[in-house]
Amino acid sequence: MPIGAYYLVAAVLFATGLAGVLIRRNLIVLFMCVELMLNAVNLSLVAAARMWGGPEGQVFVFFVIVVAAAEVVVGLALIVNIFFRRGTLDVDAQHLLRH
Amino acid sequence: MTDLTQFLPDIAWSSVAPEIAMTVAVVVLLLMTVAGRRRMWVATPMGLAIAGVGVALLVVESTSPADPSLPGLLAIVAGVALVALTFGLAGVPRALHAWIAGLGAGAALVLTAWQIFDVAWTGSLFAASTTMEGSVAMDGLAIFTRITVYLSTLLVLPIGFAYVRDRNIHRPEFEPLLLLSAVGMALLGAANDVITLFIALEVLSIALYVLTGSARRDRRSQEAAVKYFVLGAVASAILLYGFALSYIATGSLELPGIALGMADPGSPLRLLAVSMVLVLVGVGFKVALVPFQLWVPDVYEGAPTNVTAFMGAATKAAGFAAMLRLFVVAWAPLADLWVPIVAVLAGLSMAYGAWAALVQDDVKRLLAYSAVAHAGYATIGIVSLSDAGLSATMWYLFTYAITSITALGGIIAIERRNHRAVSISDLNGLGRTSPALAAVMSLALLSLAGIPPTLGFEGKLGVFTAGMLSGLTWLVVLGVVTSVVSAFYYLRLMGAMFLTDPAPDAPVPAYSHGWNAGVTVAAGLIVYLGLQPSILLDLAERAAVLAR
Amino acid sequence: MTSLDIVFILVAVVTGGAAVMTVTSRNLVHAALFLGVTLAGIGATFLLLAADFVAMVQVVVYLGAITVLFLFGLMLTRAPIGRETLDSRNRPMAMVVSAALFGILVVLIVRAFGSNQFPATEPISSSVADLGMAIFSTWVFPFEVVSMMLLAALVGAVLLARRQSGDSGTETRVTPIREALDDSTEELDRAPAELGSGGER
Repeated sequence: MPIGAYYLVAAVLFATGLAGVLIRRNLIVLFMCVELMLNAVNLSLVAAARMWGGPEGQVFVFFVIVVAAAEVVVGLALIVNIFFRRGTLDVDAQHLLRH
Repeated sequence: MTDLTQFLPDIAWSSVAPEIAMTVAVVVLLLMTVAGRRRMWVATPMGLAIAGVGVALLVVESTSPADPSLPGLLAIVAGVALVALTFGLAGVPRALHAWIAGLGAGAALVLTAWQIFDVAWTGSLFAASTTMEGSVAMDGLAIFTRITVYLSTLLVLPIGFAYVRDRNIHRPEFEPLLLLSAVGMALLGAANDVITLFIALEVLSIALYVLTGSARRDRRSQEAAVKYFVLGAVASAILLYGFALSYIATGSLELPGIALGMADPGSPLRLLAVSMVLVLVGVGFKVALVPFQLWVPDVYEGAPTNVTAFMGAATKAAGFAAMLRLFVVAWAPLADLWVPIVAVLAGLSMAYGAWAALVQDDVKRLLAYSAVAHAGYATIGIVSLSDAGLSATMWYLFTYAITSITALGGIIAIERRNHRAVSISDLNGLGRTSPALAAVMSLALLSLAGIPPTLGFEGKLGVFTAGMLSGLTWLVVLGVVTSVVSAFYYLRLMGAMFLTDPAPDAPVPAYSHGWNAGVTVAAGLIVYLGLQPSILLDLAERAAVLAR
Repeated sequence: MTSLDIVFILVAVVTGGAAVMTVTSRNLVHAALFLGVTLAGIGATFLLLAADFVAMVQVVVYLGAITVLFLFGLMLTRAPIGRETLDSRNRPMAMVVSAALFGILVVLIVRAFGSNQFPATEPISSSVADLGMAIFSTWVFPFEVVSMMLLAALVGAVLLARRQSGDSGTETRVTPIREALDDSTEELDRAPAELGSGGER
């Protein structure tokens, strides 16, 4: 299998995640789409690490996974907070802050 | 059995000494929070340990009694000060926390000065080197970013102290998060590979998301935090994909290595161009260039005002440092491609920021839009692609940091008594009711507008000169025109302060010792460095050296 | 076409399909489950790329922790199952942006790497020992900085989750200002007595 096939799968995931970020209105699902984008990054990095034959790509993937976990913790805390304040997670229902 | 010593990394503690001081302060603060009333039992051993490290440093590092090791002396002073503060301020834990945080930031600033003169100085220019296996750059950009970031931290701590108390949003976690965020910013300015750069960006971002939402009972603050977080997470993901594509194309994660790989004729340049665009989106979001500025007004407005001041001043400096390093070092071989794109973004930012600020009524939103415009001015130095431009951008960010902290400090004083967002009509007659505050605010606004002889004028002069020298006449002309437009709305604020009558029930702005001290120092810097810029301007000019 | 290629194509189709379902599914819990399938598929792809350890971390952290956190989040916010509409105002823009990006990437990747096979030699990064050595020598500094990021996330989550404010030490006097609240967004709904009573009693 040519190495490009792996990069293509990653590109599919990234484009899907980006479309989801722009389409979805529920904050938690929107955040799931960000995770899709991060996973596209991970897949590209691991495939590139295989292509270049060095460990850096895989090392970077570890760091990305750790950061993703930390971001999920803080992000869900913020999102659950705003739900209890506002009663909805619809991104289009911005009451106070003007666009 | 393999010999593992050959893998031992080379660790140069001196290259991150200021960050170590800040981290120690964070740990002390967190431990003291946990210890509660028994904080003496934490502070005393910690203080003794810090002083002990200082003594050890003095013994090991000093070459002669006449030339003692400065970090050693500083650690002894800091350790003793920690114990003294804990006993002296035993009844007021909030003040104690603020003082310890200030001690950490002050120590970091002193250590940065020590780095300049003891480590990185070659006589006329900064020496550029990398440490920590190439992860940390030790050069002018890193050190100048540290000065801006730590000075901003040191100013914001006292200015915001009484504000968070009055709004009743103080948490013991507040100062540790502020310091962690500052550490992330300083490391962002020093990061020399994309992993360190990304992690430093996340340290500062995660701390700032939480700080933005730290007014838990204010829906504005909560919504601003969520907006900042979601857009920030998307921007990080886009930035990361840009890094991944550049790794695919060049096989390197270190910024100089990426440049080397790009210079290779066989490299897929079009793929690298896509990665450049993705990185530009990610970094452009952090420094708030148009069209990635959507979060700025809401987040500036919603965040507690002292967080806004810190964010506006220090994040901008750190974000631009990362942008400089990424584009001037890593993407240098593609300069023909990115210079026009970034120049157009700079022009758009200046025009949009000036235009949108004209119609704002909320003063914090007005300053948010002006921050977008100022991001455009700072970018002129980057697209100049010269040493003059490099130092002009660094110097501009420093002047902007001091000025915007002063302006937002003025808003803090008004907001403390109003207890709601400050609109332009709240400034009516301020020149009569509290002339000192009105004078400080006017000074900051004149400096933001770039009117001589203030600090802001010196900053703008630098970037415009650099732009002219590099032949970016259209951008400089646009910059001058938008400066004139923006002077209009800064003068509108001053007109409200001096030419209108105060409302009969206008609340009297509230001052506190911390606020007085912080704003006086900031305003003093605006005047003094506006008249005598050469001290720091020289430093900025010599700092135009990048580790490659 | 080898058997590995067939496995790759199957895994790729499942992963991509699940990703599309994550984005389009109207049922929020289903979206989270499809995200789990996507993450598992990526873990399998890591195995195909001979990155065993990363695959394991992917399964443990992403599948085991992050997906579960998302499900908890959906549960806590009482996900309105089947009610969310997808017709966000920027749908056409979203389609154009991501389709354009994807098109560009496909063309560039196929042109640059369309025929590149993997190098015949085994990648040197396949062993856990090499990976550990790389993290703790070359990349030791970012590893240290990660600890700061985790500290920031931890402290931040504590700040966001704790119900009442309060220092764990004695506080002298705090007087919340209550006047001029008409168009303030701040809800001063707590009794002042709560202040400064953190972990003291």
